[in-house]
Amino acid sequence: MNQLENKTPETPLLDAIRQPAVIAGAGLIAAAILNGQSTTPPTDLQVLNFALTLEHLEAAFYNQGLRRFSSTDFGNSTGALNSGDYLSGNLFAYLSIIRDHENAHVRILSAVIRSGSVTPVSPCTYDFKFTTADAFLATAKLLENTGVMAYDGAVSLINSGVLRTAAATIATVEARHAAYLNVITGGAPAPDAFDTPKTMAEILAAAGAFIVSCPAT
Amino acid sequence: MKKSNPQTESRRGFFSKSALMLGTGAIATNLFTGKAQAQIAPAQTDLQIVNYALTLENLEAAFYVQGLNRFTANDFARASYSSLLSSSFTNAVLDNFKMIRDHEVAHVAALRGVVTSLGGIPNDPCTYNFGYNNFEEFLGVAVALENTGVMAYDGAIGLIQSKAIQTAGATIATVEARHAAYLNLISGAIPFPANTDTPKSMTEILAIAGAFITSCPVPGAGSTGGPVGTIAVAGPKNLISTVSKNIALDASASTSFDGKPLTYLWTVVSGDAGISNATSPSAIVQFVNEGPYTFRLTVTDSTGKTATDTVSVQYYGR
Repeated sequence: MNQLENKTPETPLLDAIRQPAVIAGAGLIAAAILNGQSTTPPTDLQVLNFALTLEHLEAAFYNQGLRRFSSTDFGNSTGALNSGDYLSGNLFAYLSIIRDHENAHVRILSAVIRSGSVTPVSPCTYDFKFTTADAFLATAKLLENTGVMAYDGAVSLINSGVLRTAAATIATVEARHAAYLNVITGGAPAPDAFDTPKTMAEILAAAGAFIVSCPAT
Repeated sequence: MKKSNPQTESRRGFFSKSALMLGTGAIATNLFTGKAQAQIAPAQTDLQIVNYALTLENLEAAFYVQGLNRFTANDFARASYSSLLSSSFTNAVLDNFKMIRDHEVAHVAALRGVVTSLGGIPNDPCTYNFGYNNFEEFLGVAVALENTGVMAYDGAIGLIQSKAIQTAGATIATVEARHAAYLNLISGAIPFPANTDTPKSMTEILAIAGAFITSCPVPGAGSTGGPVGTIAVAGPKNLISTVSKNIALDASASTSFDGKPLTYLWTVVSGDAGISNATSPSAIVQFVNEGPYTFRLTVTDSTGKTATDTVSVQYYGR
């Protein structure tokens, strides 16, 4: 398989951005984050609450998926079978590391937001629609690549230099996850010389595709 | 099956041990285009930060261009990772390296454009010695460079004032992180070793990058000068001879590559003289006998790098 074939994966998440139907779900979380202030620039902590929304989603995704699928399931996935014994053997362990990272990001962002006397957003209820380990890996790839676009778009909304660097140190970890999942699913780790920044509204619309309901604010 | 890869660790050791600071001053000077080194302010402008990023991208681009010229498809096919990866994944490595090379070249072009748009002069590439002797060492340096690039961008993003440049920096940072993850992966290391990457300061990064710099062009001059940066200047240079029993030595023209304070040490090389306040930039010499005297100045910068210069004076007194 040529790893370079998927140079510009067109993601369902991005397709979802263009579909008005999912905006409703996005509105739920946008309201929680922005608290009705959507016309003024968001505060730093509102931007971090936006990031926390995605980290909650990612953490739930891996927590659910790694409970549902076993090491054997992943070992028998197309990605594992194509990658060789070494990467196949590491797959479950590496996914577990990613899961731990996303849960750590939730804890880190929640603590920072709380330290600013703002309430961190709560996790929503999600439906990731995966039925096989391969489908899980495909969605993982989309989520991580979307996470990169989210952070790349959000970094400049953060006014504090310290918080901006903190966000960057998470963004680059999401990019590492994305590169790994690209490779495992047969793609190029870094398809473009520059990643694409997306706005909060675009990202929330995409994330809305996985949101069933969110707690009332 | 999990396999350990001891070569990866030894390559890392090779890198850190070779991270001498020989070239640090060369890029630091190149980086602060058009500024006298003594005038470098601790707070960097966006122009300085972008030229700093350009310095790293120039280095990375040269690294991959040189490496891909030197190593053959066979070298890539037979590398250590071929025992870790399936044949299709092994075959993809060369193409991925070419993509990484092209990314670094594109980053150079983009950052040059930003520097120019800010009214600055883009830093030109230096001459480099990456220190590898074979493909495995080349791979080890690639791992180190990309992971260093991530730390550099993560550290710099908090310092940039322009929102557009912040975003541009982020969209490059995440690509460097993708490169780093891939190179870690094929080297048998964890692609994402920590839940957050570590930001590093410009000084820390330049100390690492400096290990690979042989010399840099004089900013704006288009010619290649020697390595400069932290420089000792022992004075007074215009004092050929004196009849005074005491003279003041003068280290004030010395410069540190990062603008931070230097420490000074004056010693007597030849002649029978005493020096008081030998660690002051303006130490005082007491001549004893008529004759030629030479004094050595050693300056040490914030990274521990030293530079020396001498000054000679003929004493005609008694």
